[in-house]
Amino acid sequence: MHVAVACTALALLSACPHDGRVPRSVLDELRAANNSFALAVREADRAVADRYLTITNDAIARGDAEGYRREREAQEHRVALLRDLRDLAFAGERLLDAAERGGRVLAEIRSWAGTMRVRLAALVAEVRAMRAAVPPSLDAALAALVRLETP
Amino acid sequence: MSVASAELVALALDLGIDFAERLLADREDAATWLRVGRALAEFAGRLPREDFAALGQMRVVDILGGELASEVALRVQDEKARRAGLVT
Repeated sequence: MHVAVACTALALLSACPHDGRVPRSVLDELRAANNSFALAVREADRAVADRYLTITNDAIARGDAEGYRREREAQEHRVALLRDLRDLAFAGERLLDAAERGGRVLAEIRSWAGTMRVRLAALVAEVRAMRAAVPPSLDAALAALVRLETP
Repeated sequence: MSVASAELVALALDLGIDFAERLLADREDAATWLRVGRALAEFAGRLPREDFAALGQMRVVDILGGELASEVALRVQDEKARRAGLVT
């Protein structure tokens, strides 16, 4: 989970006036948080792809059709999750664009933040599950998600 | 960096949203909660403010445009497995 996301949700949900508008002072910060969320998704995507190549190359080299099929199924699930996360980043940006035009989108942004929370939790679980097999690149993905270190 | 830290941040987010919802219901001062949010983020991990501001200038399409690397990997390996006779 990205630290910025926590800051975003707090800033967003607490700073909006009650007519549903998002103050200009908050918008730039929200954009930065949504973009950092997108960066974390990109890092996770690269790490997941890297691990998939490693595992399936091994299965192909061994002629292990069952192992390949099993890993492919798991990868389809991960790809679906990553697509959801990517769509969520674009949706967040569209909401912020609407807010910038003066739209009253507080309710939609609340719903977006809630969905983001659930999807991010799923991604963290997925990365954690993959981490045991091939640690190095996934450590980088988890670092991007957690962002405890400045790149 | 650790999984425990990730879970801590997830918990912080849960708590933050809950508190913020209560705050909206009580019509408290938003600026106070902005400060709380930042303090919470700083507690859970470092939040580099300069990087954060620069990120605000980007668009999502510049970061996540095009195909996912995971999608490409799926396709490339399918072709490799087909040539190896693992899949039909």
